[in-house]
Amino acid sequence: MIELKDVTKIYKVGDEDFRALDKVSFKVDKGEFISICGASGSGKTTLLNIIGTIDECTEGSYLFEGADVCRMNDGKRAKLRNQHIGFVLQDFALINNQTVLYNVMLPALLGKTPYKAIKAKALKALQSVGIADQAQKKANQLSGGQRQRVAIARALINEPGLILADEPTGQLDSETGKQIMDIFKKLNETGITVITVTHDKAIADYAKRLVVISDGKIVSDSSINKEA
Amino acid sequence: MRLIHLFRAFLKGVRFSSLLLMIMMTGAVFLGIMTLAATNYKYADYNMLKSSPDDTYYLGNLSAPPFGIPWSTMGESLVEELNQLPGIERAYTVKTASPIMYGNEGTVICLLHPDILEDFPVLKEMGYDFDKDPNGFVLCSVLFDGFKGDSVTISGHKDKYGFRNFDIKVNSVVSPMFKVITLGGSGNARLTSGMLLSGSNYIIGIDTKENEALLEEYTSGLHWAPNAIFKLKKNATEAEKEEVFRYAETKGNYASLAEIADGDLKEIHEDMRLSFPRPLFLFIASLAAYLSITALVVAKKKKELAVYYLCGADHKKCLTITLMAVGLVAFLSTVISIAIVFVFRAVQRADHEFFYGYLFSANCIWLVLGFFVLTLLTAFAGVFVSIKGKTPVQLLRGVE
Repeated sequence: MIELKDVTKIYKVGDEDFRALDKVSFKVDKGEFISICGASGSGKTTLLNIIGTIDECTEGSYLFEGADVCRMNDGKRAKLRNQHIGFVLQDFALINNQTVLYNVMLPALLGKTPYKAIKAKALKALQSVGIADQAQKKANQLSGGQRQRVAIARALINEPGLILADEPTGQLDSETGKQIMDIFKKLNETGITVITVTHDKAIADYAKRLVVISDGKIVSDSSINKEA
Repeated sequence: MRLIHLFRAFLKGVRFSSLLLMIMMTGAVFLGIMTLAATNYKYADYNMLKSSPDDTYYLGNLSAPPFGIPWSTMGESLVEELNQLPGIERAYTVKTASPIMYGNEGTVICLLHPDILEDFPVLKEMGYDFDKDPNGFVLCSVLFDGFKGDSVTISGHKDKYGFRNFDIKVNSVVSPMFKVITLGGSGNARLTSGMLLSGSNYIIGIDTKENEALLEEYTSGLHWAPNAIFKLKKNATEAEKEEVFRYAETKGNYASLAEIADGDLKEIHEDMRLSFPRPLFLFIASLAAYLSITALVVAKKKKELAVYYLCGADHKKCLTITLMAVGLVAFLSTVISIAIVFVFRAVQRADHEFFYGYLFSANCIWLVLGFFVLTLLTAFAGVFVSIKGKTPVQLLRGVE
């Protein structure tokens, strides 16, 4: 599904170059559940941003279902992001003064689906994360767990094949965090590829594969043995 | 349709400030329009007078107190005497009498020398045109607004005590918008400014034999003022000019059309000096407010744009939505301002008494559009600077 080859990302920090990713090669098959772990500043979020097409690599190549993302213009990358990728961020990235329903509808509004169908899909997505009754509330009227469910519902509305979650439980208590990870697990069981970025071991354990990143390099990439 | 939904949602949170700004901008443009319309009027007025021949004077004959002289004794003596003065190239009669009644309203009737229209194009510009019928009349008054027909019934004093109705042929109806030579001074106008008025009621005709006969029959009870317009010779000496002016002073008030036009021009400059700073200040203030609101919208909505980006909007869509939001304010105030210009124009055409002293010509629309383009360009530049150069990640860093 995803193939990154020798991906390097260099940021300018003042006059100096900062190598956030250094020749990272990484392959993801359809239906995988991967956790990317690493210390703060190790480059895990940069890797997720590049996979999510919201950042570009400085060197290397990135293929998404065979298509060369590096050669795509802004519009095509946006379309790819809209149609095939769902994002769930630590800080939820919701529009707080809008209703839950509007927040969930947003990715579909950017596509070509008719408005009525979008509304129905949004309600279905909210139902799937158990907060359909909150649809008309403003996003900032919800609890952290509920907000993250809204973000998941938003990520699901265009039925993407890939969900990228950057520290999805970072602002939640452990019980709510568990519930959110259970949702990801269920989604993965339906065939959706899930990649989470975390530094929490308990959260990483939900995945089937663990990628450890340090100083912009992948230092370990292994399957997680659930029975162990 | 979907874009409208996104756009409507995007406006949330900045609606009140946008509304306030729109009112402010509309107010600024409105004041600008009114100032320009007032200047337009004065300028058009000035242009009318400016087209008068050089060294031309209007003479209101006040020599027969208290209200002029009877038709039977008027003759052509004033013009004949003027024509005999060596400094004068040509003098024309302008016979004026009042009151002529149309319904319950009094009006003035005026007979012009036939050659006057050729030599004074300004009169034709005012609409005094007798090509249709030299014996027809021009109804030059708001009294006759909307009048249609080939003749009109008016009444005048046949004798000392009674009114008599009679019909006159009508060539056209003119509503004088500008300060025009209304050919007044029928014995009781003591100021030269009385000769240049607007909105007075006049019926203008040519001094033909037929018209003289008609008026002699039906207005013999009226007192007539044998006014005149005279033109000095180009090579007249100072002494000859002095002689003409001395004579004119003995007959009534006289005014140089060129001097009146110059006075108008000075008045325009003075008016512009006094009245333009206010709308200019408002323009600048509303432009600054517009830029501030744009900056506010962009700053307030940057995080929202990051979310849009995350959900699959490209830079172009993010820019479109932002530009639509900032453009809407300028667009609505432009539409309102243009509507104001059109409504005022229509009102003015229907009744010249309304907005007297204003002229809503095409440059008012250009002013509005110019302001619209200027504000949009400035705001768009601001939006581009703050969004266009940013990478999605830079935008996303703004997300809470």
